[in-house]
Amino acid sequence: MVSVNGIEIEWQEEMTVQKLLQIMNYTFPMIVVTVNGIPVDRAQWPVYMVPDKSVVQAHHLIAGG
Amino acid sequence: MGITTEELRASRKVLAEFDYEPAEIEKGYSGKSLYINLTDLTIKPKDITEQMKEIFIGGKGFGLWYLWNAVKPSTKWSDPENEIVISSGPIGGITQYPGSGKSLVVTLSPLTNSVMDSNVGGYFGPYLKFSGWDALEVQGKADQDVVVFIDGDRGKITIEKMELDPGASHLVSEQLTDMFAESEKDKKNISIVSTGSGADNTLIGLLNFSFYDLRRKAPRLKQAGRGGIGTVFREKNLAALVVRYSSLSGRSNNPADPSTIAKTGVKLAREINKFDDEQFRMRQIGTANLMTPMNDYDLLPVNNFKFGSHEDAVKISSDVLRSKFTQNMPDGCWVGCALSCCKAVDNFELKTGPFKGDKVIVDGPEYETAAGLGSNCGIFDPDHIIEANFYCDTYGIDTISTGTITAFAMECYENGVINKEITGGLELSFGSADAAMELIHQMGQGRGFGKIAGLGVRRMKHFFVDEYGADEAFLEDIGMENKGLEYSQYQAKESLAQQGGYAMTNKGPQHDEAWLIFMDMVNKQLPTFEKKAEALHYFPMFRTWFGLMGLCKLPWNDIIPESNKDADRPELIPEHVQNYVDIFNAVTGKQIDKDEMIRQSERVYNFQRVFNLRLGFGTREHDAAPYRALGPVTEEEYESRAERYDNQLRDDVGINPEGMSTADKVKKMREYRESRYEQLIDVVYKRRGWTTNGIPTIGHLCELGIDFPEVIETVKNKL
Amino acid sequence: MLKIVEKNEKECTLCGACETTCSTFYFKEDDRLKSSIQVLEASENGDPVINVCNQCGNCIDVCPVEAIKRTGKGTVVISKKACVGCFNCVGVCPTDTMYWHEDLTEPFKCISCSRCTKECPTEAIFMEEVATN
Repeated sequence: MVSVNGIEIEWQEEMTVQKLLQIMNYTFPMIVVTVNGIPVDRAQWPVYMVPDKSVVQAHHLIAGG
Repeated sequence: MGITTEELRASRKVLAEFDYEPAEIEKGYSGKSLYINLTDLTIKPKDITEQMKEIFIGGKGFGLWYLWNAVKPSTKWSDPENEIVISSGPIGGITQYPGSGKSLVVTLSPLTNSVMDSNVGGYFGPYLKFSGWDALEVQGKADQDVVVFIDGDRGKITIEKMELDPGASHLVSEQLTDMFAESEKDKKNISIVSTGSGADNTLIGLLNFSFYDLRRKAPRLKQAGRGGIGTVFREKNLAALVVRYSSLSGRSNNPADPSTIAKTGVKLAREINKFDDEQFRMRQIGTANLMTPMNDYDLLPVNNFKFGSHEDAVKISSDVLRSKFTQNMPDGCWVGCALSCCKAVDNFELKTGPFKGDKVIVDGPEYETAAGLGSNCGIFDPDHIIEANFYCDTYGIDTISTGTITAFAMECYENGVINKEITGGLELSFGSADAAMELIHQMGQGRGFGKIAGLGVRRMKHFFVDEYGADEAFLEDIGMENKGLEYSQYQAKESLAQQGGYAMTNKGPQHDEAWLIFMDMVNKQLPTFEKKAEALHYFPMFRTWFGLMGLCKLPWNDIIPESNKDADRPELIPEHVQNYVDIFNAVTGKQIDKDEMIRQSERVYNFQRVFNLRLGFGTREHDAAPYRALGPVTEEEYESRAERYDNQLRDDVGINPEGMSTADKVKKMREYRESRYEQLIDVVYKRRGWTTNGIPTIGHLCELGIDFPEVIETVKNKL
Repeated sequence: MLKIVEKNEKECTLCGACETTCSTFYFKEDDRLKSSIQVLEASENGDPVINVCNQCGNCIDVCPVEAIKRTGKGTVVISKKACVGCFNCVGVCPTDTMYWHEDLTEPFKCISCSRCTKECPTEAIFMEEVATN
């Protein structure tokens, strides 16, 4: 299991940050991601592997209209 | 069909005039305000006192203070003593920092019968100030349609009558710009405040504030949309307000420290240039950039806020709307706004209504308009949205209220509360674009069912119950209004904090006080009641500040600085908050910090709460929300998100949903959610320094320094 | 044909003659921060960096009051009379050569007058014709 913003989801093999955000349908353009407290740069999302049991924060920077 | 400029000019008759020497602007203030009474045609200056500057700052603060002094607890919106007050603010009119040209309009609202404020672009507020007036109060009621002209170049104010048809705001703006400008070049020095026939015929009338677009060679319109201010304007028989000021420069606001303003402004302009294209694309799409993410995150209102997304939403996505904008130029509602979120559709050929066949410029559509007139009515046709947007603006009716009203009428229609006989043949089911458009024409022209719809959701509910025996409880659940104002266009069901952000507001459910959905629902940054309450204290106070200054909210968090990734509290955008502190100090020569900034707002915010109280509102019962804003009213809604709600019953409520009927699940969910909302109110009131009935305590008012005798008396009577 | 100030940064000796010439002519004082050509010491390869407008005209479109125009010769100029000092043009300048100064209400830029090139002792700057589009 991986926790994303407090929501538990199934961990998968080869689960990159990008894949994880796709699963969550996090399409928003301004997201800051940390995996187990470590910031992951947007450029790293396609290759950065999320280990099983990770705690991921996908912080959406928006305060609306 | 229209009158020519020459004929219009020839028809002018001055009813009253006033000559003055425009006051020098000093550190963001002229130190004078202009009072006009339309009943007896008084025109007179007033002094802005140091106490006013200290406590009420400007903008909405000045508006509230003048209105407080003008009305009695018994005053109704339509009484002559009601005022419309327009004021920008000390920062308003600087050209160096994006988003600095706003006007704040304050009046007693026909929808809420209480205090309304609306924040609007266009050039009127800054030009008014530079013409010598920090604020304009209009009181009384003219016995015929009048135009007020403030000529800041000549130092002359006139109240005039003329052969002007005030029915269509886009034409009024054009005709008056043509007539009052002394040359083609002078047109950019004119700003018009006007509305249209919808303001005569509904309670949701708005005010359009113009700015002249040099490249399109036409006036553009920005809307003070909320709360029926345009209706008050027409009740006073005002046809238009006109200001002319031709000496705009980078120093018109005469700040204490221009260098800091320039430095801060250049920093932000460079930031926007560097990051906007990869962030929110404000310059390309404006606020309509929200269409796609709102749908993706189940937050786009669909079918009167039943749902948060729709498979057809792709037809009105951010990029579809972008493709409609004929945008190849910067487009700001005040000079110097590098964020340039204004958008326009040029040469749009109208298919319906009195201007059918005309090719017009349509301002927008903005997010609220596209969501309100589109998805919330189940309509996913961008051309319908653009046409409806045009007609709402020119009739002078609020697109947000129009959207929520239409959506409510549609749900009533689908549930048999009203039928074709009652609607005069309009088939108002969700998705009926033709019927929705016809309803806009009816509201604009005061015909048929439009006369009922134009009263707003609250009065429609009562009308349907009284006249047609509708189920009152059901209508209270689905009628998306609070305090009499229609909800703006975000789905708040899954964010408790936003439910408070909507219903615990001073003027009614507009998201300009707080937009907490992502922080709360997606990021899970507000897991406890205390955290939600802290956010419902900080953000409404912080965002009130824009309205005291003449500022726009967008350059605060619709562009994110590089420093934000290392910020402790990224949601506050600390670098931009500091920019505002620096600019305020640089304009006024004062020395505030970010805590005093919140304090400034808190004074005005609490004053507005007491003002509501004085008018018979402002207590807990008025912060109640329709259940549609809190959770699933119907089984259909529950079933549409059954997995989510079942999980919540299991995990949050502690009930096993297995074997329960949907009706039971809806009921249990409702008990849970309503009790959570009540708990939230308790905690928020406490954080704001209010009693459990939502009344500011005497101690809190004293601490804030707004313990004026009449304020204390008002509160004492209610405690 | 449009003439712009071209540069050969290797030849620059950082003498400051161009900056003095420009600011003295246009602002009547010797202040390099009021010069429309500004020379910075370091660059990655060790040569000075000469910042001067290439007359690209990106600034024209963002001016809210149409105070920036291209002349018949192709040079981009600001009408000080029309300018409202918003610095939007500074924000979008791709070469950071739309300048502003805290004493001044309006921004300023190189208008290809060529005075600085005549004072440069090493021909590190010179006028060159470029194609306009």
